Amino acid sequence: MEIIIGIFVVIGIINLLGNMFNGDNASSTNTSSSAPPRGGYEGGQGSGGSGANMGRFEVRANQVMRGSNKDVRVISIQGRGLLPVHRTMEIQFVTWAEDITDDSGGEPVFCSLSEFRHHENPTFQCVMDKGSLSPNHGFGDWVELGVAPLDALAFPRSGTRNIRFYCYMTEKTSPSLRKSLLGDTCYIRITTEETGYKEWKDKLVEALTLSMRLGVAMAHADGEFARNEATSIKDWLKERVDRLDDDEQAEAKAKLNAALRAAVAEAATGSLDVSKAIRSLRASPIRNAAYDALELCTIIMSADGVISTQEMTLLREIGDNLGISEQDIQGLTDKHTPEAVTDSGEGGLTDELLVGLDIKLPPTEIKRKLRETFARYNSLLTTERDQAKRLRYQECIEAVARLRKKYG
Amino acid sequence: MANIIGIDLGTSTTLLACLSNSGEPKICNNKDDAPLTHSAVWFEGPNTVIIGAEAKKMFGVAKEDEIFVEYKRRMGESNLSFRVHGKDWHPRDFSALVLRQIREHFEANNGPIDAVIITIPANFSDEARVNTIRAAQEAGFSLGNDALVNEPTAAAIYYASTSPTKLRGKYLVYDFGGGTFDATILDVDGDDIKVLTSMGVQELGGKDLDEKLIGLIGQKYTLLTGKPFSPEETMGELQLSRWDVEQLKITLSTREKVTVALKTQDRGTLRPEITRNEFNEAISTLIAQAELAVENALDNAKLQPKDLSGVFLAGGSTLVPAVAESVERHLGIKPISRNPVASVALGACLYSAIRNKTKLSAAQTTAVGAKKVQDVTPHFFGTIYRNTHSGKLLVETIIAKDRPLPCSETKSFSRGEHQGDGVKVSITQSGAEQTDPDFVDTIWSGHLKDLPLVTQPTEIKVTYTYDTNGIMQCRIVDVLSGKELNVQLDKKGSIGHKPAGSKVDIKDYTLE
Repeated sequence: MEIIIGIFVVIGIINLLGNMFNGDNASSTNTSSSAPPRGGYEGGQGSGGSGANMGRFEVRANQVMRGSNKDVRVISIQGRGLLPVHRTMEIQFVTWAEDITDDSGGEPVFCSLSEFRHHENPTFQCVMDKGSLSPNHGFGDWVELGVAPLDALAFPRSGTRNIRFYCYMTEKTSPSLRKSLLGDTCYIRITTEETGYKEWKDKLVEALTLSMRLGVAMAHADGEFARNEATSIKDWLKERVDRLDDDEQAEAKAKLNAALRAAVAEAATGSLDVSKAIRSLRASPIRNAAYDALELCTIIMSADGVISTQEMTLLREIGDNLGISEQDIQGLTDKHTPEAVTDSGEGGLTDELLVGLDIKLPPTEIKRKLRETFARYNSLLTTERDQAKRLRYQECIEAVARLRKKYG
Repeated sequence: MANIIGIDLGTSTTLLACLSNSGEPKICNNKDDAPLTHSAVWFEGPNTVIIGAEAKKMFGVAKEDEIFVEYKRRMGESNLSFRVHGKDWHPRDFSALVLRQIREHFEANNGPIDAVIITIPANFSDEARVNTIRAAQEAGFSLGNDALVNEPTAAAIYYASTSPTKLRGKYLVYDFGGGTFDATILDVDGDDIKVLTSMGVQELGGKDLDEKLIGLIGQKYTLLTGKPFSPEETMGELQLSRWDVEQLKITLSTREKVTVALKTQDRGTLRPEITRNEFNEAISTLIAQAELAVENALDNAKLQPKDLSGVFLAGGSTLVPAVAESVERHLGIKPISRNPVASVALGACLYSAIRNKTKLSAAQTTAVGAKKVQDVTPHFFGTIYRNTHSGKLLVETIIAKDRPLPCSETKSFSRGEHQGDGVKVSITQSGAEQTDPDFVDTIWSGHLKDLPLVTQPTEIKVTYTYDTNGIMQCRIVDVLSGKELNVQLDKKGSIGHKPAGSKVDIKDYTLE
């Protein structure tokens, strides 16, 4: 069972589909099976000629631009020919794809849109209803039987890819009962600049290494690499490495362990280059790599139970340089630091750092920022039940009040 | 004559007001013939419960786990319990004890109560509202659908009713009570009172002023003795109760300085002085919080201080001179203070009359007049969904805060092939608009089940309807099949059927 999925995104996709299917030779994708397909069936004995005249079923693939601005790259899979059935039935066409560039046996093509996925896994699959089909009917002309949103597909590698599409007809039924009644394959060559999922694994290990280096820098911010900070880094890395395939884990672990030893050694001598790691993370093709790295830093900051000025300063610097919004930085600290106490001793965490106030702002902006921060923590306190978080939010409210007094 | 009453169930004190024969609200004294009943409960023994001033005086003196004050602040924590003499108690049970005592005393003298309204802070969470209702039910009150009114709204009704001239314009109710602060902006046009927005601070009240005073006393003690001061331990040794501290605070409202008697064991009685200036300085950050809340309320209502026609003070803490002075300094408007301690209870009584006009006598009906009150939604109410691009769980607001009541909103979502035959539905609330499920409270969750399998995205419609009685109906419809799920989150307890501690557990939503 799943949770409701998003309104805006999905309604957008529905609109997009509408635009897509309004193209030449396209069929309606109305989910109602009674809707007659545009570019519909021709009777074998009627105007379209006999089944034998119509020819065998075949498919082809074309890359086309769709959408109201013609800016959506789509692969249109079209078919024609006789559809031999022995009784009238509601039919669907199911299309899926393989990348055969490096392996003639085929490698999977994934899709980021759930509407274009297999019902049990994230591989690309398009299911298109085609209404009612009677015996000895078929498509006299090319009719769209499937679409593939190119920019939502993930291939094994970037560059020019040879893709094989397989399109089959099935009686409309639940996904687990689908049987191919007939089908055909077609091929298309496409070019993609997106990092492939096989390359992505290398990039992922690289991003993990960079995040880990920032984590080590954070652990050293207060001058001491504590045991629980090291444990936090290890747990964070392990969680991510465990997501890799079994045969890839050993290699990733070896790389990361070596990188960890090197980072710790560099941090001890003050030669750990945080700026370089930040630059590389910003350029990483891995989605949310920068955010994930900052999340690790936040976890490490609070791992020893005390947040110092040095740690919070470094966290905000790293966040700013990674391009993370101020709101997200504050959100991460709210999520991961309630259990930690702020160091109120000499050189301890200042109110400004605790609530992320940039004192270089003009006075009116400082006032506005304090109002917003107050509203944020006050609203969080209204509904939060966790006592540690409540105490942290209350601490932030009191810090804002002191800053209000300080800055007017 | 019907007994129409309003109760200000405060953090530090509770007041009951009833409608007189002539339709005027008046405060009714408690069994000790005092207008204020201290919201304090002392379990002196397994079968002896002492309520009110006597209990309050023992706070800090009696055993810590046998005496309970300021529990209202924890009313929203349903899983909380305190074990006393072998029995578990929730803050609502303590409230129920106080309410029961004042109900029994009132009814013994005046007969059965016909209608009652109880006040709550404007930003009370839904759970705290439900627990307040339950406390009243436990106390033996028979409640109508609309049993609650927000404290500042009640105060506004009182001010509007007692104003020598008809009010017209935007007004701020500055309600600094014993435990909470509310800044509420209203649009008043004679008998029509419309709430525009409320901004509450949950942990800002007279209690916090007392804490600051205790801190000052501690500084003086350390200065004189060189010893550290711990409120929990040292106050007992010095025979200084919280009640004493509250009295000192009250005295400082009328005098420039007070002398504190600290009975030490080794140095006899020390008598440090505390000046009003010192106290004002100590509470300045608390006043800053109130100022920030007022500015937030003005921002929400898109108003400037100059747009306000007046400021009304409510709550006992506004009797502290520095508090009232800060309002004038901050907003440039001299606030009006009329019976601030009782205004909430008196307004609640009037609201009770407005909502129960059929029970009023002719004289009462005439006096109450044609007053109308329109409140707003107290929180943001939303649902959790998964963004199909990022795979992240997000919160989508269905009904925003400060929407005039009644209101209804529908938003469409979708479900896809991979979601099988059901969708999980969560109803959330938050004080500000949030998109991160970590920062909202899930007040109900369930499933819309047995839906047909689909091969294309289909529409799910989610409708929330919030009525004038504070009851929210949620309707979730699978458009394709017509199957629907209806949830009523009312103030009488159906919300309480949700599993305890139903905060979103992200693990429930992760892919296996």
